Amino acid sequence: MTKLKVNGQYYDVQIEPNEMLSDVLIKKLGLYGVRVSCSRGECASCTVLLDGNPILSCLMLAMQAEGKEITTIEGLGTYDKLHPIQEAFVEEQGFQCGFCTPGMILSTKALFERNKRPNSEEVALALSGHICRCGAYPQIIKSALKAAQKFEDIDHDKNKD
Amino acid sequence: MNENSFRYLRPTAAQEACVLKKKLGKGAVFWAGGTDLAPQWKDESVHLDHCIDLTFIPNLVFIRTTGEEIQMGALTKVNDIAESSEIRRWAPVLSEAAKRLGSPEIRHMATIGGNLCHGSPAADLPIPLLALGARLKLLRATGERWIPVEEFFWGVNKVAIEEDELLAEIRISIPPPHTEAVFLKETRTSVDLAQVNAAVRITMKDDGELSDVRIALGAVAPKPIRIHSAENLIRGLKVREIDNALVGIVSRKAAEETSPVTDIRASADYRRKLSEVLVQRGLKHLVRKLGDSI
Amino acid sequence: MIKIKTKSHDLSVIGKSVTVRDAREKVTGSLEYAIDFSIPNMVFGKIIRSPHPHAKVRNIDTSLAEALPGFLGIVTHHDAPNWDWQSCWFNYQGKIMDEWVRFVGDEVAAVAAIDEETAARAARMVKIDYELLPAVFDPEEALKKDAPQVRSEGNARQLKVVEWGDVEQGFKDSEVVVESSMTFGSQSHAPLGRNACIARWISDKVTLWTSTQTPAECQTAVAQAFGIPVSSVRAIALPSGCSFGLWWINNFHMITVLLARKIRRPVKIELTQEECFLGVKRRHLERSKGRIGCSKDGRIIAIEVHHLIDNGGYGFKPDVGFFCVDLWGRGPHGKFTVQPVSTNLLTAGCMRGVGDVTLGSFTERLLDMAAIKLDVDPLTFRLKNHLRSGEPLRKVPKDYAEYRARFNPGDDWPLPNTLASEAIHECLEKGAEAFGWKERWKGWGIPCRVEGSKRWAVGVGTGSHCCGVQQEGNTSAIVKVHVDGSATLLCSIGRQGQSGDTTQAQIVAETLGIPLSRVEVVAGDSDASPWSHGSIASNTTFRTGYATLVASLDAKTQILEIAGKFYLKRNPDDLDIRDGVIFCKDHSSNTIRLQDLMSRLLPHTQSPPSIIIGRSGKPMPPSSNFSRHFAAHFVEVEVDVETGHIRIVDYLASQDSGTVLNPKVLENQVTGGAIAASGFALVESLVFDEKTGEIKNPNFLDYKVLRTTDFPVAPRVMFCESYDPVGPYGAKGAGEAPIAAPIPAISQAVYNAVGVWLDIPMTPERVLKALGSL
Repeated sequence: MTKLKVNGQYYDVQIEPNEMLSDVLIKKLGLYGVRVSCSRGECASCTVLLDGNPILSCLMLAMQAEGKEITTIEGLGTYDKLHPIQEAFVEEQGFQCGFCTPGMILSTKALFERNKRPNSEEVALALSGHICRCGAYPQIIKSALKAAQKFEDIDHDKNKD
Repeated sequence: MNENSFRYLRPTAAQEACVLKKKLGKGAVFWAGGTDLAPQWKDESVHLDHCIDLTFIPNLVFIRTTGEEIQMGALTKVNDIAESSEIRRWAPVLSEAAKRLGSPEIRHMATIGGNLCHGSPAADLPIPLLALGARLKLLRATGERWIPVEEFFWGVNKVAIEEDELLAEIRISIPPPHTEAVFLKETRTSVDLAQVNAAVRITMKDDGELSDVRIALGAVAPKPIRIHSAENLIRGLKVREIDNALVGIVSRKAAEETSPVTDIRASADYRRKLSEVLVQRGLKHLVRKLGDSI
Repeated sequence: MIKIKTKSHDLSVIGKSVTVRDAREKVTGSLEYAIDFSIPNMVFGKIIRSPHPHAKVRNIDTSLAEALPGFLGIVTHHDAPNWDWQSCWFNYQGKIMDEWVRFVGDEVAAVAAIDEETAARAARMVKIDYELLPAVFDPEEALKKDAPQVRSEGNARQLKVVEWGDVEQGFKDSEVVVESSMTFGSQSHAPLGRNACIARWISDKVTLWTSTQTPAECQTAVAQAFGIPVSSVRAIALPSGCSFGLWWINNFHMITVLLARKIRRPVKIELTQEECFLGVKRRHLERSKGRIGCSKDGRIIAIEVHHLIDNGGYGFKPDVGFFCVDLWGRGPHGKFTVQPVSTNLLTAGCMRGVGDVTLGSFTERLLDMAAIKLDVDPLTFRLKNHLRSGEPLRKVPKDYAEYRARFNPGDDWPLPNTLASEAIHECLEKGAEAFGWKERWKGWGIPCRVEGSKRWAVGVGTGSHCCGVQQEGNTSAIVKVHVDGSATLLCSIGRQGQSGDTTQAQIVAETLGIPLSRVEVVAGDSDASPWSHGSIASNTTFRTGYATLVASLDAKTQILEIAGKFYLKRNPDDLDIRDGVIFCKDHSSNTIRLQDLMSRLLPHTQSPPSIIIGRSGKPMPPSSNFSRHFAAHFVEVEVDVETGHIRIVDYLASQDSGTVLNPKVLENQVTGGAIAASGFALVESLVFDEKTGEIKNPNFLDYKVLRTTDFPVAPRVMFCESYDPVGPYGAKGAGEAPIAAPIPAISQAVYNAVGVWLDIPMTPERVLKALGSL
């Protein structure tokens, strides 16, 4: 049995050596927000955060994630209490079919760790690994910028207090 | 899907990894970031009995500068190379290449060692390393050896690593003054393997003489290459003598020395054309920059 | 005619960017697609595909597979029904499996096993002997008399002709004549979201779950394919990833149903990414040639276009939908012909904007070439020649007049075969103004900026498409009002990201006068949702919307009758509903809340009126006889004459979809179309092996689609609202004009930058070859 830390919780999981992290997260931990599409690292829909960095869970052996902090979309907010980035995507309609959305949101979160006030080009670059076949890129970029604004407002309110 | 399984091993020191590899033989494969290996394994174009995971060996992850060298552990992530202020200061051409490799997510997984050892003719990091004249440390259970990067690449997915060896470190000399280099890459869309990638590096003496010229090209031959015959055309000349006509001659010579294939990304003819264009652009850019600095 | 209040101050939810219904599911990753779906005791299937482009199956040896622990069964052509089944718009016609295979990747058998790994292993252990047959891959070769015949009906379908006037005379009368040709690679739907089908038989009834745009069609097609009553089939449509016409009803659904019937266990077949690319469907390979004749003062006199499309192995389409013939068919003479032909390539069929993306782009090129010869700029030429409201449509089914006479000749239907509404003129003018067209346009073949090896230039293109078609049957909707005054809309639409369930709910809320939060939508359970085409041909807002509107009005009428008779003692015509409250229009007397009306006992029956069911009893006028939606796109490109690379650096899209029901939803549709077409314009194309027709790039590594960094980060979108006399609140279709307009705009811009016209996609190699430097 291997211990995996996912969304702040520890799980004891039976991991086969040849299982990718995506297989384990979806099939063994029921985290369907990890979306596997191309399975070859091209589309980034399977993105999860590993110690805060966006990685492709379809290419990482599950064993390699031991001892790391894994964050999936399920770890960000809940249906009833959305994370500010999720709120921003809802408000700006930064999606169409929704398949790429979890990956986009997680990579946006990772971007904000490095750059709190990115401009559109910087957002585009940070999300360039993600394919959105629906073509919602402009709305996705707007959502990320709105999320950055939300964080700035939160910081501003915090400083005021 | 590949239903075959394999045994998983997790050494925590480089020596231990080498010992394991030697003991387990041909079916044992080093697994780093997995960005090349995982797709190959899924497509069943590589077979594993044993997976030796290198990602839990902290001693293979470092970026250090001494007075004379930049030293990088082979398991350093491409993203860390792209963001390293030291590398940006002393070898910005390597930073540029690292920034253009894959996508942000790939860069957080891929390692410099993996990008070299996979031996793809289109790989991005070999190109600046060829221009920088890097040297590579190959470790084995019983010792180590160093080889120049130019001797590392043998052919498509063929590199100069023995069965029981591990690429452990890459070193680049801090460049002499008046050295400029540039990395160029052409792709179909903004995130893609190279149709052609190139690096050009020039070192100039105080009097304007080009003492060292290096031209490296990728995705135009079975392995990443230096074009010595093109370099020699302008080595020793003064920077002010390098006009557009001469740049044209050098870049055409470079293109002639390539042996590209036609694949899904580009035709051989187009690759030859791009080689010429990229070398031309690289040279013009450096000649202008160095010329301004006199 | 249904007269609806349309002034915006009277509308409460129509025209607002209300949050879409499944927004929270999408951002939390909890939306369930078919690949996520499972049912108890489910087993797994795997399709075996032909490695040959054309062959007869001689023998299938399953002995090795059968010995595998966990193997449960196999279906082959021996198990398949012995008649053809037909998908919507002839996107598939053939048997589920028969003795022949017709393209590399064709389904030849399927195995079932207790888990996916065993199913994959078993599939590889099945040994199939083939007798190889000659194959044909090129559509023009396939037309030849001695070409290998892909199917028993022969390769060529009947030539589709749309003509008016006398083209030969027209060209004689023209003072300027230009001729050209253009080829289009085969674009792949390239879906990010994979698909799966789960099928379960319980006695003689089958239920299938899948991601699809056409829930009702899944039901009727399975019934047809298996020769069982429609009542014995339940299709439950799950949300799909981006579809663009891919996920309708496909043969892999039939195979799943067949396998489940054989082994009498619920089966799931999940497609890999590769199977999505090479085993389902693609856009046709298309080739156009033709000419245009104009008067000296810049009017189109005659257009003639001949267009060839390939149907691949199992497509049987008689036509592509092309509505450019209307938009540019104002002149007195025209002849458009479409020749479909089968080939031994992956089945080809509809992809978003079918016909207009290709044939439409070629027509626009003819316009541009004529404009060049006339020395007229492309904007002026288009403004002069586009179709206006009240003018004849050319691509119309011939039965309209008869249909109208049969129904209710006194009814206020739009004039037959006449464009009922357009704002394309406004789209062009206002779009040009917002884009700064006058300042940026420098003349034909003249870039607006040159720097080193780069050239920048602008282009304008237009696109149009139908707002649904009525040929395959009418569309219905049901509105159920519950005992608490909330309502459920039952309809058959897709959930592939176009948020049709949200806009339909907006129509119900607005019409019925209840809050949007009290409207639920069942979009695709065939046991509940009445039949409709589904979300294809840009018909959801228009045709389903009409049905939803009528059903809502029907429910409202029933409610107001009860309110007037039993509670407010007024004539129902004096009453209205708003915010769930029934009131008198003259604001006199009492009011009653809908929820109270619904829960009180009626005096005459002693039961609550819990069976308010609004039906869409009123038939919709045939939409393709009067309604079109339009787009005008403006683009600036950068062309590098040394590398041949083209970049899109600025983009403005204007759209006429009538009344905009939800601006953010429509904006997404517009940018989505623009980006998908830009990908086709620049780089997207399936590559077929010369010898076998096998698709060599069935994955995202080798088939490139555009990324965030390949398109302007902030394209501008503007709406020019015409008002459709029939569409709900004046709304029209939306999804396909915006994928038709980009290619003409981009290829015109490239011409202006570097002086060459190119085939699609305009790869760097093609650019350099045309410039003479490769």
